[in-house]
Amino acid sequence: MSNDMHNRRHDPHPDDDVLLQQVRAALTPMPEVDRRAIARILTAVVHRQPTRVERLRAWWDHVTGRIGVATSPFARGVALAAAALTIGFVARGALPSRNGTIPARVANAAPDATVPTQTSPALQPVEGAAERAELRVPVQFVLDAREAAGATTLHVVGDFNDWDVSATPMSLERGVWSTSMPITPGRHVYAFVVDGARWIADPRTPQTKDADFGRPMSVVIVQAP
Amino acid sequence: MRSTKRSARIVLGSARAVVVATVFAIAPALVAQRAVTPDAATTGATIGALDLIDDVATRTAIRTLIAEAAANGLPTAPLVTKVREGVAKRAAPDRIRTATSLLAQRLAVAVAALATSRGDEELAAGADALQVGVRQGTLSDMRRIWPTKSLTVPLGVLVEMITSGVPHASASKRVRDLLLKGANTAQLASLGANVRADIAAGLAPDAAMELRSKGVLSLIHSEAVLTLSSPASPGTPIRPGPPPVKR
Amino acid sequence: MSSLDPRILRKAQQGDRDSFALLVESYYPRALRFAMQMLGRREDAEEAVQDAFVRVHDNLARFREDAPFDPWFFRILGNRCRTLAAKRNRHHELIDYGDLPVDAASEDAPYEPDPAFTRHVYRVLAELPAEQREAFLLHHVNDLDYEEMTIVTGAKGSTLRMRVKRAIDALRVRLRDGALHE
Repeated sequence: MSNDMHNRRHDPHPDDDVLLQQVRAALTPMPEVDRRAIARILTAVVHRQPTRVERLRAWWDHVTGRIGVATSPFARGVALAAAALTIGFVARGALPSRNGTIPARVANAAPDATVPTQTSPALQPVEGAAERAELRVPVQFVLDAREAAGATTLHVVGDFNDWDVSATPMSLERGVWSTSMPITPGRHVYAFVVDGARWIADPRTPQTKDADFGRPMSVVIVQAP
Repeated sequence: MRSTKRSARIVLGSARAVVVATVFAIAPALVAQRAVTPDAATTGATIGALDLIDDVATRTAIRTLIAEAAANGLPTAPLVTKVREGVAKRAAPDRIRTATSLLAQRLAVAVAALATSRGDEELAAGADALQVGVRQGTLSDMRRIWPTKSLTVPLGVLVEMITSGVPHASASKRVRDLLLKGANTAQLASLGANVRADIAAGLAPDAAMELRSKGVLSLIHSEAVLTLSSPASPGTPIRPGPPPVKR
Repeated sequence: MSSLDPRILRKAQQGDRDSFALLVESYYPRALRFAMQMLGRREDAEEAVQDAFVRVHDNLARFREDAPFDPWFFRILGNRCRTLAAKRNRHHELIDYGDLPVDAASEDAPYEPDPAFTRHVYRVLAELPAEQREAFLLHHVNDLDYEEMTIVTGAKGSTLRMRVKRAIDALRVRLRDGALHE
């Protein structure tokens, strides 16, 4: 290996000349990124299950790293045989996982890494039936058309629909705008959006101050079913 | 570990003792696999929300903030929702960053106070309570009283009482008492609605809170008395006592 | 040289999803640029980049923190590009000109790229042998030094220098033949 190590772009180099700089300039701009491609990557890795060979390899790395198992062929053979048996036990559910459940997938990343807290999304144990609090209750939103005179469209926007101004349209019937949507129990803030632009509070419900962004908001408290 | 040994012994015969010993040593390591985390939507949602912010510096700062929150075990969905809220309300990028950062701080406190939280909604409700000045100790207290039930609705009612003008100490005490006495979420939600209606009708916030709290307590007491004295036969409704008289 | 905060990399290694997403966001444009310049077709490039990131994800826990990330990343990406190129058997496929990045040049580039010149550069690049093209792109566009390029390609430094030199000579001859710029 040569000791000649200068070859960063900002360092002088025998190859540098005007044409080369022009070529670099032509090749440097980044292509336009299709965000769906990035989303596809992230979806692909989240749903990715390691193959049996990959799991074995990761386990082998972990074991040899932690307890210094000798890598003689005999030792490797014994360890692999034990691994095969264990995989079989786990697959058949005979061996519970570390947290006491027998799920298809359990948590942890690199074994020696700092482990996040038990509330980390990477470490959530498999849970049972959804809590009652997570069940949604239909809530009806109503606005007298006179409160939004001349409106051609009306939407309700709030924390329950991710503040998407176009997600929940209301329909006009007999002088009343209305819509119904399932919402989780708890306190929720919302507003009506007239023609996609003008925000108004619900005149029928108490308003609350928006401490973060200063808009007048309405409140609904949804009780559990 | 004890259950691991027991299960293994049931399955394996004594002739495989050596293999069993190896299995004990490696089973936890073997099942320590990379997490297949359940919520692919959150990461995609984070990216989607950040796309809506034009300012690159703000986008990067919020991205880092959310990543650090996740690393610290905080739920990221409420943070993403806060970003979307700011964008929907056309807030300045800096304001969105500040609001998201403050929420992350409150979520950290809520996680500590509520411990063994039932989920993102409850933690978000805890963060809302902290935002209106509820003390961390109050959250911990409520968790002690309701260790397994979700506090999302009680916290929401508490927040609503305070934002309606009921003094912090009074609102916290009354909600706490109702939890202790066994109020359910439906009763708490009704209390919240009634107090708001009373305030809109002109009643002083503290008075409205006291009145309606006593009403719920009375209801709980009546139901308890009826249950003890005459167990209901199937299909017989238990009637509550007379409504409290307004002073 | 890595544009990624080491703390984010560490968290991604520990399985943190948002940190891995940040890693993807950070490296995706460069990865796509490299793959497009290697393979010539955007859809092939996107496929290679997606495969590369999945492999990065799968092997991230085993990546040594103290090692430089860029060469490791480009090694995986380079492998994916080579594999895909072999499958497609399109060594001389011309790039789809609609995909050419013709937006503003980066801060480092003192010259505004002329679109016609840029197309010519891509055409000549596509005609180079893959090894020379790869070496040139790694060194002169992605700023890897020869030691890092050895990690990426497995080739010795002297071999890599020769490939870069030959690529530059070919570019010089063919671009001057085109006589678009002096």
